[in-house]
Amino acid sequence: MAKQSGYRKHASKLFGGPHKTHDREIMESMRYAGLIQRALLPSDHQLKKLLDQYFILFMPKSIVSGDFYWITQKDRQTYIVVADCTGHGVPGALMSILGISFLNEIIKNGTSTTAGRILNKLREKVMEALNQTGNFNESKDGMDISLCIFNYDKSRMQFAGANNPVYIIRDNVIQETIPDKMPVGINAIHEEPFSSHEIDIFRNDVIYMFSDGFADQFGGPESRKFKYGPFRQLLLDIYKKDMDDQQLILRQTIEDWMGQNEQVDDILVMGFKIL
Amino acid sequence: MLLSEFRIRNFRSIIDSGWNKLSTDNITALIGQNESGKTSILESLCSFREGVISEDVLRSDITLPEVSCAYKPATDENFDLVDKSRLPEGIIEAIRKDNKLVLTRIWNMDLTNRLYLSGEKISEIFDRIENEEMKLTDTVIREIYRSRSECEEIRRQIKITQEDCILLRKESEKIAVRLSKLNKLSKRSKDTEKLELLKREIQNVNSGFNHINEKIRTGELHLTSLKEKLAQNEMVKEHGQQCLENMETFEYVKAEMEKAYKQLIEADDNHRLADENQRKAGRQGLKKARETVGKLQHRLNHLKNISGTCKRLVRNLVQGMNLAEAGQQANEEYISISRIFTREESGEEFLKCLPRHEFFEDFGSLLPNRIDLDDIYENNNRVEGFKAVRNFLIIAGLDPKFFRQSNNRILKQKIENLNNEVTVDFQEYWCQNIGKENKISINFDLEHYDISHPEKKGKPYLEFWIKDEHERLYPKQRSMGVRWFLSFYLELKAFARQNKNEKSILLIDEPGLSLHARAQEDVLKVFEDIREKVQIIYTTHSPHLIDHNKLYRLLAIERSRDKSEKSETIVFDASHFQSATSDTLSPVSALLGAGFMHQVSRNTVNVIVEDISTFYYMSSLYKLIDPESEIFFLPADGKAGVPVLINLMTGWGFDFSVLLFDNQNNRAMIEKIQLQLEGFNLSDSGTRLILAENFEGSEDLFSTLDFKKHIINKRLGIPETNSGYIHENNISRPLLASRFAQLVATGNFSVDLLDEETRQNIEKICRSVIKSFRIIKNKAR
Repeated sequence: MAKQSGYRKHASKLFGGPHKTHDREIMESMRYAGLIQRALLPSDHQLKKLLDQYFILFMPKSIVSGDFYWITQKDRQTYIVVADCTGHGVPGALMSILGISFLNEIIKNGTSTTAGRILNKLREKVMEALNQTGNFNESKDGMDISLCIFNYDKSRMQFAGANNPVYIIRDNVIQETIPDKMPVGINAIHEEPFSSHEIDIFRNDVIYMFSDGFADQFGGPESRKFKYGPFRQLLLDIYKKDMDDQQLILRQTIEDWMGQNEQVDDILVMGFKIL
Repeated sequence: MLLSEFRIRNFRSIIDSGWNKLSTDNITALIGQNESGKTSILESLCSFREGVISEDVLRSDITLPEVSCAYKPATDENFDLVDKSRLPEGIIEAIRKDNKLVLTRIWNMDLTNRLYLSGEKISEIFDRIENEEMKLTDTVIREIYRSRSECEEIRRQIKITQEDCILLRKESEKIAVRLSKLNKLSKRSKDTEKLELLKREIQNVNSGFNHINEKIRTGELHLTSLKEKLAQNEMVKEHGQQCLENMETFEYVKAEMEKAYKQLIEADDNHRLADENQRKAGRQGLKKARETVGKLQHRLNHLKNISGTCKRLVRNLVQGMNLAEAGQQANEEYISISRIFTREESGEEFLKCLPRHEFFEDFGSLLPNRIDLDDIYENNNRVEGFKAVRNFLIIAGLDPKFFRQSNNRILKQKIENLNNEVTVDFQEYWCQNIGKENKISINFDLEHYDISHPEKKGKPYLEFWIKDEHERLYPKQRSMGVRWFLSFYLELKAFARQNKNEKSILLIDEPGLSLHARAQEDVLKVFEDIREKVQIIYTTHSPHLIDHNKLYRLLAIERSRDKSEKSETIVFDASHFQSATSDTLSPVSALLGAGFMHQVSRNTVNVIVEDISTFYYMSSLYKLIDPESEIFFLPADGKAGVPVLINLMTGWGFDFSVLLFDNQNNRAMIEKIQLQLEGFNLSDSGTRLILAENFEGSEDLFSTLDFKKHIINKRLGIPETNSGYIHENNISRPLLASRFAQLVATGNFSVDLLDEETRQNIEKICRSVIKSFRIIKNKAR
């Protein structure tokens, strides 16, 4: 017994106590996981190549994030995804890695032709991976997603949304495309197919895709949510500005709004201009 | 309560059928080749209910036949016929929880059997009761041996204590004498110093005296306690000894009983085999053996009761009760425990609630031309056609006494009405025309013998005939097929009517063997009509006795193909048909071809598809899109069958096209067809070959969501193609497809229930089919 206490004491001296050692190890693992997660997100080079004028405001709540963005090009069409996985931190990050991997598989290797069908397929994969069958005591995790497919040759885009909309600002007017009110994952009662929306696009249109983190952030004098109305107004106010400036304004605005309050969720806003 | 599952072990060619589910809509067909074991299944289910088997059921490997049946209780089933107060606690709850009542009957080599209540949870309850009784026996035996050695020990202790007490008493007496002397001396002494010394000594001796007396008292108390303990242990020992003797006698009588039972069976066999001279002696032997068995059985029951009570008495004595109390409590406890049914008694009790199992091997009692009413009154079942006539009267709802009615007008009127009723009912099932426009009708009349039969003159008889528009013929003048169907109809309808308040299970071996295909379909109609009241399990080789929309009703029976196994019978339910041989499933394949000649014609749009599943899906989906469609999908027996059908259709001069799905298996065949046959080149604009591009199988026409919702009825993630999922999970394609076809056939499914993706897929294929036909028709013009 005496020997054991002595050993423990010695270990505490060496490693700063059992809790501290443990926490430090977790933090190091998290930081490394964060690096891996960022490596899975599209690089600036890729984004620049496919979008030209864009900004991304990516503010994870912790080191790893449940929000992610993804972009690819296939058959002269550009696929852009902004997603918000259930939870944040490690659980959200694990889901986001699943999401990125499934999107790669479906879009790069698959034959699904419409945005809605891509989300249908993604939902099948998520349900299978999480063994979701509608029973009690099973994972109800999933992701909210907005998916845009751009066909610049035809000046058209296709949109499918799982709880997340898309905003297009043209001539000082913001046009919101309403998403289907269900997540990519098991639904409460039964699953319905996701709808595909066909939208004409024009030069100088500015398109915004985002998670709910910005609008749901608490702060301000009354410690309430930022909300979508002011968010839309803010976008209308800044949409003509340079993309980097837009990102700076959005960041500054949400940080000011947050003040001393804690960040409640991951924040992701992506904006790009049709040229 | 209906039979929902069965399991058969060691019954003729069946080693272990595993649990097999019967169709929930009360009609189950067993299909398979001759000698596959279909009839054995029916016989085993019949034997299960009756408890009787013949020696030829036993397998040569001397394994004991065993049949388990699971019944699904109706929601309002209260088991009224069961004395529930005598069931172990939790039995009814366990049956309700599992929604299943399982009984097993197992036969011994001497063909005796025992039926018991089984099932996992039920067995746990009985095991617990039996374990408690065994534990009690163990405890009692241990206590008996303990009490024996303890008696010896207590006796030894008593002896020692008694000896100690005697010694102490002697010592006490000595001290008392000394004390008396000292007292006398002290009274006499005048010397103060000496007196003081004497007083001190008296005090010391007195204290020693008191001490010894105290020790004597303690010893005596200990002795009393030891004697009480001895008496208690003696009681345990004495009753324990009796208990052991009872248990030993019970085992001995049990062995005697088994011996006597064997002798009884031998005597019974000998009595049957012996000739007339020996039979008398045999009868006496049999009577004696029966008496012995009866006496032993009585003694065995008596000993069982005594042992049970005795064990509890000993246990109570060990716990320190007095004999009267221990005896009374043991008696009460045993009476209440012995009232509780054993698993065998429970089995017999629940048997009262089960439906009857009736085995119909033949419907040999054909309707006669005439039958004497005297034979009916006297129940003379040896008379030709007696059973058929009796069934006829049951269906007509007529008591034979009615014919004693003296009022001729009432008699004639009633008979006329009944003739009409029975005929109308019969015609609902018998759809064949007898070579003329009209259908046949059944008639009977009451007649009296005339002078041409002097010995029976004036006696009444019933006369039957089966007539059509122009001919009035006696039953015997009709074909065997008509007479068989009539007899079958009478038997089943009479059975259903007689047992209308009681659920029954009909086990029918190959019904309608001698019938025309159309009449066999009529047999199915009779089944459909009575299935609400009667559960039907039948064997058949005929495709006409199978409803192609209800493949879930089938169980395929075949002999094992594995040479290492002992030619065992294997049962496949519809969801595992993919594992059965094509020979076993031949009625199903034939069934799909049965409508061929009706459907295929020069006016219809004929499309050859690769298999049964595609046939079901395409026919149903096309019907949804275009209910008036004249497209007939013709299923080949797998991809190898497609070229055969192409050749046949070409040979017969029918217009047709071929629809194939875009999978690895079909690619080689598509190449071959393109190379070898004219008009089937995919690159030609006028090709008759339709390739469902991007769809590996017909199931892939459904979106994953629709596939889950309407085909497999499951909520889960399916990342692969639908056909890939079916393949990966080894699911029966024909079963799923036939279920969907059945759903569409009910009329409760419309195209609106399918999502946009599925609708687009179907429309795409349909457009290709129609396009190919426009080309064919244009060419024909």
